[in-house]
Amino acid sequence: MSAASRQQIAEAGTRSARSAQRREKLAQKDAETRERHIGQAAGVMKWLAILFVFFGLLEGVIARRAADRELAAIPAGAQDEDPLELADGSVMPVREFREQQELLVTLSYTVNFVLAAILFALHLWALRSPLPATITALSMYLVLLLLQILADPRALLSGLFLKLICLGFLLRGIQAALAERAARTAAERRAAREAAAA
Amino acid sequence: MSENESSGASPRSPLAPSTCAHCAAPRRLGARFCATCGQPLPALADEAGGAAPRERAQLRREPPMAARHGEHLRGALALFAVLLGTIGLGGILASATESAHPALELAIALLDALLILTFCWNDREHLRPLLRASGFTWSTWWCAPLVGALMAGFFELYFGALQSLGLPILRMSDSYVEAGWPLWTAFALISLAPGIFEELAFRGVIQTRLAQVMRPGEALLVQAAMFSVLHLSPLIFVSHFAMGVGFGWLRLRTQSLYPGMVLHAAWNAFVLLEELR
Repeated sequence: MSAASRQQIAEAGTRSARSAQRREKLAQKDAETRERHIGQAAGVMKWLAILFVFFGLLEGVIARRAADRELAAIPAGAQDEDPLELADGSVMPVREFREQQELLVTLSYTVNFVLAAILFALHLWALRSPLPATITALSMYLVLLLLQILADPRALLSGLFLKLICLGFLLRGIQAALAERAARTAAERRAAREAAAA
Repeated sequence: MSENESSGASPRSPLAPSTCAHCAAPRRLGARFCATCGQPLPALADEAGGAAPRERAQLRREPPMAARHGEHLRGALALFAVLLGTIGLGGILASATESAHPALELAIALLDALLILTFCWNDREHLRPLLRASGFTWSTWWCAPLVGALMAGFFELYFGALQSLGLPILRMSDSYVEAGWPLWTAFALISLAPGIFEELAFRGVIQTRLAQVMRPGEALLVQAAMFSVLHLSPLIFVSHFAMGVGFGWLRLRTQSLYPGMVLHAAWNAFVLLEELR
């Protein structure tokens, strides 16, 4: 084999090695980009879950105090079956009123904690597939807002800033998930193209 | 005309298709594989030696992938938001008039139907194969009774558990009976209309659009979650999620919306009959 042929073979080898290095770098960059987007999308749901736990505790404490105030207003010595006239003019037995107050306290804790648990489950799902998880979280949050408005239309304005922050967070999560999906599709296409070329 | 010419799949074809032959997704310039379904694409005319400036110009005008994904997603979320809005409107009107008169339910159902049909018209290209009478093949006929039997068993257990816990279960027919409306109107509005329009909305528009941006299994789960939360009752979230999964799977398996429509309407009719018994 001549010296020129050997040089050509060596150059081809170098080119191939460089090309493989470039491909590896691209794949690494793709993986880093995807991980960053996944982290952003999944992080949104983790922070929302923490927020719901925090506000669940806060609401629970507020509901407990309100219930204690209502229960303290029951006349001393009132029996369970005694009728109790409420502020709105309706009448209900004392026992039923006590149960209702306890239920309100339990509900204010439970609803927020259940939502936090769902959001945490969605966070775990988002670590694998951020797009479906963020869309599910957004749908759930929108329904929650509607339920609050239907229960009490004034609820729309109370905590409006916080609601807007939550919505903004979720939309940012969806944006990150979309970017991750586009990066993944591009990487898959490149891999398929390389496989076809090979 | 030969088969290759008619499909436009030949690499030597002067006019190679600008969309994927498998999923109809638009192709990008220079792409050898479909970005949506991963199927190989025929070479463009200029790649095969000829010139196809029209295709190249068309492909250059295509928006980037994330934007296309965003567009599909916006369509699905827009329909969900619109349905949420009509439910909210119904709820606000019902609380304002302090009654749930069937006339209000009829008005909301008509509004929903109109909006869903508008979305369906926009997505008619994707929905047409799901609404073709020939789309349902007898090789998959067993799916509908299977889903029906599984759902009946699950609901028996689930609602039995709810009743044993003393939790209230919403009755749908009461307002019709109280208002003195004939029973067929209750069947039309509670059984038939949701059977048709909810299937068109969730398994039709939403699942199809979501499947453009995520895997079919993921799209199935997300539309089921949307379907369940849209019923606004936490007690039935689980049962309606199962329903959404069942009907969505049926649509994937049979490539048709009709089995889901029939099963959905039949289930609602069964619940109504149980209430009236």
